Amino acid sequence: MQKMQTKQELQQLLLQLYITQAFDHRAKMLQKTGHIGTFPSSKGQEHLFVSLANHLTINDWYCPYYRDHGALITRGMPIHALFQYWAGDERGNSAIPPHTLPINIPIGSQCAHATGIAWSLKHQDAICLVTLGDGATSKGEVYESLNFAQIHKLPILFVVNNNQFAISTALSQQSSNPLIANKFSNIISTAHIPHGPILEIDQKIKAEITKVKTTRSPLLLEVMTLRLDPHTTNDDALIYRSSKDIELDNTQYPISQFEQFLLSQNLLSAQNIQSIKTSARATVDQAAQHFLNAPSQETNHINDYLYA
Amino acid sequence: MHKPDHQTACMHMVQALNQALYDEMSADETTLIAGQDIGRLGGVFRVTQNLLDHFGPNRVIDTPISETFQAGFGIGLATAGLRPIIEFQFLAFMHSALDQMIAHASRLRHRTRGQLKCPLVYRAPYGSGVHAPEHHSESTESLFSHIPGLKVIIPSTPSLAYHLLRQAIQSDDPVVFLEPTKLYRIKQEPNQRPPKLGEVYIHREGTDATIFTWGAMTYEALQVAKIYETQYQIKLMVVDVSTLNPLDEIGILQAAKASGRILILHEASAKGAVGNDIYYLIHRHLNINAKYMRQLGAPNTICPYYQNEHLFAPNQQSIMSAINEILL
Repeated sequence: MQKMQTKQELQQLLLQLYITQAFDHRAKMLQKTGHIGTFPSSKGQEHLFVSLANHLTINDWYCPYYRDHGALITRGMPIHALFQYWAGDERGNSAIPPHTLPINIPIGSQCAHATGIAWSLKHQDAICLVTLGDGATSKGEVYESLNFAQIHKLPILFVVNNNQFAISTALSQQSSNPLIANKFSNIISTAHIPHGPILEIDQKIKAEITKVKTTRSPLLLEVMTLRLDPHTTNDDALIYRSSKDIELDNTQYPISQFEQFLLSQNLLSAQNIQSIKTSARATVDQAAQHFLNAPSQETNHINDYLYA
Repeated sequence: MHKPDHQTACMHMVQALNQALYDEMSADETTLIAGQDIGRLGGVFRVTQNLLDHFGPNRVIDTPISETFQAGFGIGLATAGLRPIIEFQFLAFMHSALDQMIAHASRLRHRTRGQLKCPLVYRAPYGSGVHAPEHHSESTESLFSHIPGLKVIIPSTPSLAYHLLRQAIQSDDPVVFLEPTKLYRIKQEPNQRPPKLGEVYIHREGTDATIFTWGAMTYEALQVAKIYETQYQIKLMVVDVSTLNPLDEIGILQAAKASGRILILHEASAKGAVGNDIYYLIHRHLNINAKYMRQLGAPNTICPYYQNEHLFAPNQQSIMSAINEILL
């Protein structure tokens, strides 16, 4: 049994979750008002990305896909820069934290990059962690990366965020096996974390990261999550899902359940929780103001970074 | 391992490439190579022969048959501070890796405003004329040259291959390095001076007409230039474009000015090709009458299987016809 978190640790985790939640919320508002472009919310999956980042050191590499706001912020990416990225401003990417790749859009292609990085870490203490969605596991280069990582026993953790949808395509139409971990279990060691309370998932994630760090061998970790918002702000989930299903999923919102848990167990007071939420919102509001007030990027440098 | 001469006398291109890899891997321990059958076998053309023995399996990596992965793996290595050289067995098999090259290698520096860089080399043999099976004879260099952020280099002699490959490895940019298979085993006189990546290479001076070419067609152009000089006392300048992206616009225009009569010669089809860019560049800046400009490439069709591949690329006869037209 894992040790219970201290009050301070719980407060810190709650703050990170609220910041991610507030970032998603604010980004959706900014998109609606024309300040940023298409945006993929991480609502329902905040805890996954926060936990992944919390259990790595900054010397470990993190290779995100595009729903990893919680991890990028936790690793130190300035929030206003993340808004900039989604507003189509390359200055956002110039603020990526150390040992972190920029957001990856072409599905699954980041797995090969992460495998190359993991090769460079063979004789170091650090590991490489790469995230992907369940849809990405249909791509050939994901298989190619898993295969190579296993052949060479590379220190890499492939984390599949299984939210059961690839835009509109349900997992049943995407994967020959309903469990991604099973689909690849004869290629690479795999682990599966089912839906559950945030603290339980956090401890399981910590254990799997520790396993890769200790064994210096590759692992595919599938984490079940709920996608409570559409794929992006351009998507309309009601076209392919019933409102009843969406409402039912929303009753399972992990952050709400975490609040209830903290209250019911008398781990944090309602007042304490509210003050953390207020503080998180203030942080994100301030970053949004910073983003909105920043001067426009200069366009006369458009070729400066094309070649060395 | 071959001895470095000055630097490649008595070598054919495969030996010169092998030497370049050996010298660069000896000079810089962050370099490593990865590709199919490159270890014990030394590659299907033996370009990487003996490198496994010298540098060990941590720097000479046999990959599974997974071109897309190879391209992305190289990007990861480069991002982490290494200098990978990724070998593809033939250009046509590199096409599945285009996504990684376009979506990532070419743009990593740009999209992170210089926070990350991608110093790597993608090597592949290319071109027709060696009686290879289907899918082994393509000249699709223009596909890669269309991509901003990629450098595209094609050597035409063993000594240019040696120097340009070393410079490509040292470059902080991603480089697509295409090697003309037809010239792999032909020994050629060492070039008098080393080339500079990014600049055209003038093989032969001349003021009567200027041939712009690259790869295996350079060899043909030089043969033709010799014939014109010895038989007709006509001096043709032979310019090896050698860096197809980005183009050395200044060097091209200077060479074009020297004669004002231009032949752009390439093995690829002219449809959407780099040769068109060179034609347009010269036309736009020098306003040369169209009757003094010709572009000669393959027809816009699929390279025939090897029984008829001689009908595809320009040959001595078609090159001489084109020269005669612009000399009139």
